[in-house]
Amino acid sequence: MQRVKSFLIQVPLWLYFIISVYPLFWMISYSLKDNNEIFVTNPFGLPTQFRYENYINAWTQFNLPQYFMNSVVVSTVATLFIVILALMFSFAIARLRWRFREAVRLYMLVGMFMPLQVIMIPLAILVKDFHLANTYGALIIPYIVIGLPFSSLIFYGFMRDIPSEIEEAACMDGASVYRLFTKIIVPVVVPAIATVVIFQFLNNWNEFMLANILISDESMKTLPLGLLFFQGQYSTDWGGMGAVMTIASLPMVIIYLFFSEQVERAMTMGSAVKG
Amino acid sequence: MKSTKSLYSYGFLLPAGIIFFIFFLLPTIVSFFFSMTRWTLTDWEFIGLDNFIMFFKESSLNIGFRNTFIYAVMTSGTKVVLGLLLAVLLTSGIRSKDFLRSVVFFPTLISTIAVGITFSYLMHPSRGLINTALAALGIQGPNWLGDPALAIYSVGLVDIWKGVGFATVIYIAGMMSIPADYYEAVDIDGGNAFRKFWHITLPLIRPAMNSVIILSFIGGLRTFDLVWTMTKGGPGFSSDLIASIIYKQYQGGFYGLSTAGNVILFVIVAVLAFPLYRFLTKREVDL
Repeated sequence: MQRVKSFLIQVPLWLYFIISVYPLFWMISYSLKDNNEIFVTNPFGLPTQFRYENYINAWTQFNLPQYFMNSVVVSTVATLFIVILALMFSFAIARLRWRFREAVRLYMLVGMFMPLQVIMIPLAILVKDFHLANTYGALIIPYIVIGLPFSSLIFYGFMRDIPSEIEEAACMDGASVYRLFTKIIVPVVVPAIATVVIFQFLNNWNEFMLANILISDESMKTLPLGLLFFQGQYSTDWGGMGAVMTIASLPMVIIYLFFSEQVERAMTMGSAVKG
Repeated sequence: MKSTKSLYSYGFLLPAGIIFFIFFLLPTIVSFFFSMTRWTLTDWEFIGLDNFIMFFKESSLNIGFRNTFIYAVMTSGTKVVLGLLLAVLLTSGIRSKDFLRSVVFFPTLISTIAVGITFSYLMHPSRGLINTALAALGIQGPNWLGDPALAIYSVGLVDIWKGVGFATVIYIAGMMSIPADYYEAVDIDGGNAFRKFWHITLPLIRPAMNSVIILSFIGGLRTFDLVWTMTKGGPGFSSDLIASIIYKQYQGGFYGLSTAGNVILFVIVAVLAFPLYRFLTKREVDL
């Protein structure tokens, strides 16, 4: 009986495993094949001969290093600011008592429900007016703004649940508000920070729509723009295309593996998903 | 004392508050105004609600409402159900569950553009893996992205493939925070696995379920990247979503019309998602 039950659970899971992993396996394996193998001799299995030159070609012939660099800079800086600003903001609305804090919380919550497209065109004009067009700032600032509501909501959920005794004890010892923030509150919400880092870095790294509108300069393009550009431009070099897509996807997988334990802890603490 | 404290609050609040205002709320307000103009970025002419009327009357524009609604309901509905199912299986104490859990999340990590391109290949009517596999079983596979009646659903399937892992992770987190003695109580009463699920798991993961419903529904309403990569709204306008229509109008230089589309999308999200959020969060059971 136990065997049958275990079998009934395992089968759908492994089926799902194949469905969710095979397309990724396929992408990576064709990044190591030539066109003949991709289309004719061996479309679906492991490459018979690993053609690492696809990667070397992708890296040297396309403008890939530049795109990669841009994505790293934009995603890292934006994520850093999102974390700092959202931590401060949620601290003010979760732990400090003042008159309009509920109103201010709703003010930020609006951003959660706002489709990004609404700000698209005015944002393009604004970016131009601030002389940010075709600079890193053209993406970094909007990404910070887009990331703030969700991140603040997560931090708010965590900070709200911190027992006030901890704070009172610190205040008795004469700690200032800044000390309270940096030495007491921030260390407690480290798992939440890991969660926010992953999700915001993921969003920034893969963001396409705004980048597509705000960036026209070739030297400022990020990877998602590059991917779509390659697809149009080098549509005959399939192996190279696969290599580009694999290179673009790899950093997120690495970051996830690096932070996933913290994220699982944060989410299990419940607050993160409660909102 | 009190005033110094509120001074501190503003210090913590203002950096985020100001940047959010300038780059988010201000553009939104500006959008509302320009949606009622004929707009060339340098010049504008006030034309009242003409843009909105056009959006509802023109069939190449209003097809977006139908498609967006179908898309959002299909993708979020499937993610809510399938994610729950996977989460239940993955928390059932089987071997290799840790490994499977991290794998489930992988598709979420891959760039939407890369996913779109990869699946366009996989869904190729004659050379793609999916139809080749179906042919091996003696089934004539459909033209996934080339059939106007099917394209939007095909894109939706890929969205589900990519997003269900995220839903699953949220569910698993919700389930892990349920204290084990709740289940033991059912054991003592002689309840079976189904009773545990129905009377303990389901009510207590409501907050997680609400997050999944809201996030995936809003995500579905504002989808752009995937449909743009896979079909560009085609064939014809058959898989156009509101977001891709807005983008096409923007590309065409119809800024006023495009902005009107943005405002409509905003209103739709506000009218559907916000009450849903209020309704769902009211029914949560506290631990």
